[in-house]
Amino acid sequence: MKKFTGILCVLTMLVSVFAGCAGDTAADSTAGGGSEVSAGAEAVGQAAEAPAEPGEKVQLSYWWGGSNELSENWCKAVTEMVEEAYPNIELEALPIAWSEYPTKISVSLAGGTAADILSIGCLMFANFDTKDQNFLRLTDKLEGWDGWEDIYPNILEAGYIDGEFCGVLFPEFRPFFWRKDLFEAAGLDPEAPPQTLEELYDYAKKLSVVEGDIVKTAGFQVGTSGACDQTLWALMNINGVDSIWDDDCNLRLNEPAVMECVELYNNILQEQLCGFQDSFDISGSFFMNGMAAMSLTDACNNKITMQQNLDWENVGVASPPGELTGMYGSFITVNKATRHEKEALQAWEVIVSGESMLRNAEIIGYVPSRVSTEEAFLAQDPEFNKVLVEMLGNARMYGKANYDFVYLRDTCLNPTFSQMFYQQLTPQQTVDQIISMYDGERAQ
Amino acid sequence: MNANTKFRIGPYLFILPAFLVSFIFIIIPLMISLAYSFTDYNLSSMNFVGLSNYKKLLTDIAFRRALANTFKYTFWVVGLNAVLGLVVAAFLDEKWLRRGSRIFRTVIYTPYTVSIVAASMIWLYIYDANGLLNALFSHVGWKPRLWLDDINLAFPCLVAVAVWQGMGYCMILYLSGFQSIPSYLYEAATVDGASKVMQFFKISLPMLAPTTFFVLIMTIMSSFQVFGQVYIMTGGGPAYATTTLVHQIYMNAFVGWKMGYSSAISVVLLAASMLITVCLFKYGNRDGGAEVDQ
Repeated sequence: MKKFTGILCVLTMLVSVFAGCAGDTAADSTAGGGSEVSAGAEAVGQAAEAPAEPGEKVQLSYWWGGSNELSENWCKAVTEMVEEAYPNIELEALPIAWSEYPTKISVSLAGGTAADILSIGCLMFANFDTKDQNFLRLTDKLEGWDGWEDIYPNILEAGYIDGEFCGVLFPEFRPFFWRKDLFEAAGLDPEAPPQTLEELYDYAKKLSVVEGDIVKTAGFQVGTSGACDQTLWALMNINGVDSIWDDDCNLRLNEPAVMECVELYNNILQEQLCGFQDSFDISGSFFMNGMAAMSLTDACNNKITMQQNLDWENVGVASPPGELTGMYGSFITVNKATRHEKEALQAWEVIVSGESMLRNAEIIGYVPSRVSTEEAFLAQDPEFNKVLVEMLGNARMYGKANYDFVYLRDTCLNPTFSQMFYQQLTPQQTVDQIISMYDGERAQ
Repeated sequence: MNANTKFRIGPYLFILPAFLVSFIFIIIPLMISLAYSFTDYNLSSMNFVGLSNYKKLLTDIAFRRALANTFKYTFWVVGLNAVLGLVVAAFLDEKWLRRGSRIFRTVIYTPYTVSIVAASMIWLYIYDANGLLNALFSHVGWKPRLWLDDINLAFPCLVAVAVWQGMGYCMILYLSGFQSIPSYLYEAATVDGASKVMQFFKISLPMLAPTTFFVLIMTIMSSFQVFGQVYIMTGGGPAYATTTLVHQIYMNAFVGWKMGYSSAISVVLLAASMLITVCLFKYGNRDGGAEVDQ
């Protein structure tokens, strides 16, 4: 009897374990594209695969990178705009912290559970798309869309992956920020920022303040904590280099004009014109925390934080020196796995409309990229936005969409630059190593 | 077939749940990981690439540094934790300290109960350029340092955190080991004129061999898996100075989406851990080589 009871107990435990592991299949079936059709209050998983009946509400999801209050406000605004334009759509807009964004996006795209509409960090756009095409190809699906005419050509061009249009960029730029009060203290003209790399270097020398090993004020802020690509890109732009890789995605780092930038970058750190940001427990950049005199790597949408942290009257803002300017931001794209393509495209069109771009500019600070919104955008903050509008037409990303960008940045560029900063490699060795690693990966 | 040799299903059924859980959540993922290591799986596509992931390991700077750092970290953390844990336990076991030992034990053991993330955050504040440690240095007139950004200091800084956190665990294990040594051995040694130091080396240490074996196994395994403090405090830098195997597994899998390559690193980590464990079991002194009649 005891034996029988024992066996029964074990079997019961086994059944419990498997029941626990099995999960809720009904709930699981709603996943995939993150969308479902709800008739009234109840959403049934199996029904999600069927097209929406007339009168039924289609539930769509939208993920936005960012987790602060501003992102939440933006998500609310988007939901209102979409639901007002299309009463048959229920939009669930969700801000997702950048720290968990890459993992969440890649895993959910692979698992078929990503949102219907996604905002994707611009540099990783091709990486997330992968060669399996996770994002809807929009070229032939947007007949009569006003964006073709209204959005700046360079912004539209950035949205192409392998010749197919995949999304609209909400751009943000990195203007030249400088501290007028620190310029004055260093005997420099506060209204005349540097115009060349040489001047930038000279100014940085005059502006930096060092105590022991610690840089108290960085003359010129450079990235040391995983954002080396952004600093290098800004310097390359000043030196007249218009892409990091060519149209075949071959790196241009060993060109003389780029080598000059790499050497300058290294000198700035070796001569303590900037410190290592990891050493300081600060959120945001040196400049945003009042610890740098000049910056080319602070996003324009950090203006609100800067206004809170710094005496804004003492901050100068201008287009970066030279004719070229870098561009970052987030692409708004549609998940190819969406079960409601028609509605997702309708919602997408609302999100990338002029009105929505202006709302975003107001709430988050991305730059509206439509010609028709220029006047209204300028009215929001005439002095500051004038600089951004100046940058809009010339702005460009690192090069055409590159499937190997994440590998280049995280495995080749940042760690190898770090070796250079710690004098383990010379600038030339650094560039050679990066190219060798990158080419090796591509060959594989 | 008599009653002793007859096959009895009962015991097998009792171990079946544990076996199934291990099989489903350990053995199968392990096999899948091994299989992935021969592919270029990147979450969306997968092709068989033979041994190319393993070949790449041989030339990958980050992996080579990670492997070296993992062994170096294990050596220092295991060594310091075991030695300091033993020394502190020996002091706390002394009669003259026993009254207050409960407080010391609690104080020394408490860091072990703090989560890795919380501990790392606390130490980030301590090591910050404007942090507690530099404030202390400035106070006594020493030059402040960039602790986590100094290529020579970042690694020792991580080891210090691991020792701060793990030493209490070793100390508790050794303390219980000390308390299980029969007191008459020390009494007899005292009568024979053995000094305290001699008693420690001739009685305590051999009698603590099983504890030492356990301490080594546990600390080696946990040191091999170090990730949290590396990820939070240094991100593997500066210039690969603190990257470890698990950090590289994470970076390749979830930053670079190279699941295949990441799996190959996991297989190397598993092989290294198994090799060390097998060596310890084979050559380690598990019973102390001394038998005492209780």
